[in-house]
Amino acid sequence: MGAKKLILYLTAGYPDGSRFARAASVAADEGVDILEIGLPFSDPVADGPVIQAASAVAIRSGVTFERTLAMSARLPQSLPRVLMTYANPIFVRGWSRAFSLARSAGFSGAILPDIPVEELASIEPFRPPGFYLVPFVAPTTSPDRLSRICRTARDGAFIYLVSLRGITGARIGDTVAEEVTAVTRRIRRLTHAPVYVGFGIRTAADAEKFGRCADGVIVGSSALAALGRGLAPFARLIRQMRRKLDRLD
Amino acid sequence: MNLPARPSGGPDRRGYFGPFGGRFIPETLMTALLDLESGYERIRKDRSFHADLRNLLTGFAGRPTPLYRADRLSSAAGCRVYLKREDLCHTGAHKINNCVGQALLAVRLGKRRIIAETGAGQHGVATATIAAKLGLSCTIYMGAEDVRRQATNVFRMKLLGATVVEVHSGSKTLKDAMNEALRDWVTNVENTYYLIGSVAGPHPYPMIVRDFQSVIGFEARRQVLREEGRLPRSIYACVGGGSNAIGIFYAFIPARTELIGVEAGGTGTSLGRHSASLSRGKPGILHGMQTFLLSVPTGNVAAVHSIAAGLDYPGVGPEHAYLKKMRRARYFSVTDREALAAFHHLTRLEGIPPAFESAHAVAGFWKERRRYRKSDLVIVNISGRGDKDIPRLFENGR
Repeated sequence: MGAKKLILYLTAGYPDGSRFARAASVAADEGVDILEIGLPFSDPVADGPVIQAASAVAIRSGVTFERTLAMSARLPQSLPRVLMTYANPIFVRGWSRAFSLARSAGFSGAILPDIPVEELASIEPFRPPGFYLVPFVAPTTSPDRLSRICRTARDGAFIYLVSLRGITGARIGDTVAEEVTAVTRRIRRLTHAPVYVGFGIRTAADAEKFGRCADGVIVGSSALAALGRGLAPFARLIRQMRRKLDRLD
Repeated sequence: MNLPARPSGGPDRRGYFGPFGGRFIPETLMTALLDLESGYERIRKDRSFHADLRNLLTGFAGRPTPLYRADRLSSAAGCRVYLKREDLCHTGAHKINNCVGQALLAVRLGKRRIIAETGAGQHGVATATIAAKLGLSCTIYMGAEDVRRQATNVFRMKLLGATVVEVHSGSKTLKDAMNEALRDWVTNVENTYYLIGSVAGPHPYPMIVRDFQSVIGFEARRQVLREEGRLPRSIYACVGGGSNAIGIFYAFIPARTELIGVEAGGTGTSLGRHSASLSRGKPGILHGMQTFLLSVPTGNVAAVHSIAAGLDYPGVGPEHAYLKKMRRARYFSVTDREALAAFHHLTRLEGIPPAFESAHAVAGFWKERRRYRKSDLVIVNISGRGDKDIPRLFENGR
């Protein structure tokens, strides 16, 4: 396994239950370090068209919190995984109960993109021990908030560095890599937590470029799009990304 | 006209009204929200801002609007009823009060591009109108379903120079238009101002929109005291997101006046047939705020329905959730049918066709008219005019 991490996002139950399970095991075989499993939400404001469409498909086929947990519990124990969803599906079940159930199903943490650090503070008390909440840093994050955000990365949490101003699957501009390098440097002065870059990472070349800037990359939309075409193109994309990342450092 | 002094009941520094409100949005937007908050605090104390706002509200938006004693409705109902005539505002509804204020704020913050969501198109038209007046670029997000239902408003927005983007995701209505506007804002946050149309969304929007709409209630308070020398016993207003209701309630919160919000009961009480979030919803989180929400047990947002597109929203402003919790305001719903009956009733009795939204307020009052004695004073907020809804009646009539 390379030093640079590859984090893969999959929407639970997309394109369907069995292909999701096969995609997850392909991911494990191809050297994905952390699997981010998306519990689909009806109003995913941080997500672009690909993840919106995948979420809609999964919701229509009846994917719920409980079924997502059941799918996770069937995956190989050795594959670290984190639950990604929005605030409401967790809130309606009670933070504490939902987090504990997620931990029992093999999740080591949660990613909630509509919960900034100010709101995270009031949810923190409901977090079971050993279950982390992933804080976000964006290119627009101000220096005073950055230190507060970095302090909340505890219990094995990584920092989710949003590469660009935009939603998942957006096109990355030319200056983004420089900006990401600069922000990562500032984060390093504040915390030892690993920094993974996500949003808009589509190709193996992107993975290489951003893998160089930080500790790893998060891939979502492009992997889902590949999976929509079939398991073979999906496996190929991950393999290429893994290879590029392994060649770094 | 001035912005109200520091609010009595909130929000607190984190944007909460009791347990409701907050800022549940992606990190990318946090800096913009904090800038908006501090920019707003600055203009509250800025005399030239107040002068500009006053000028636009009087000359452009048509304020003050009358508080009109509805004699025939009064004698039919058996008490003294006044109508607050927001239907006489420029663009046909109270929406312009907020748009004028926020557009001026956008200019002070150096933003030359404005985006907004719209349901029926009233907020979209009001936003496009002030954007034209101030020479700002304007993009309006509107659900494809609403674009189809409200074609003339789409045309109006385009006449005013706005770009209208059809939203095809989800239920293709207001909530999805708001999702898409948020996605645009995340992408263009540095040059774009998001002009939210209701007392909804992340802090500080519920506070800002309330402050700009509170002119309705402060005017009504002055007018009723001048006419009658006393405050009303009750006020009725319709509640979708809740901006016209908060607008008229706010000045009366310290008084003993009963505040009554009327929600859209649609065609039935089961989920999907109404949009009565306060009467039938549960606490939830959507569009940046913790509030009463209509959601299915999985946590996904439920489908909603109302004959009035402006009430067709699964959430509600957090301050209403708080007023309900504190029992300072009371909320119930009337059906599509009751609202339609009230529309015809007011049109025939007073020669004032209300918007279908405002017809809910009239229907709510009518339902409760027997609670009042002859000398009791009641104000009903007519938040908008019915012109936009008349084509629909015409088509149904054929």
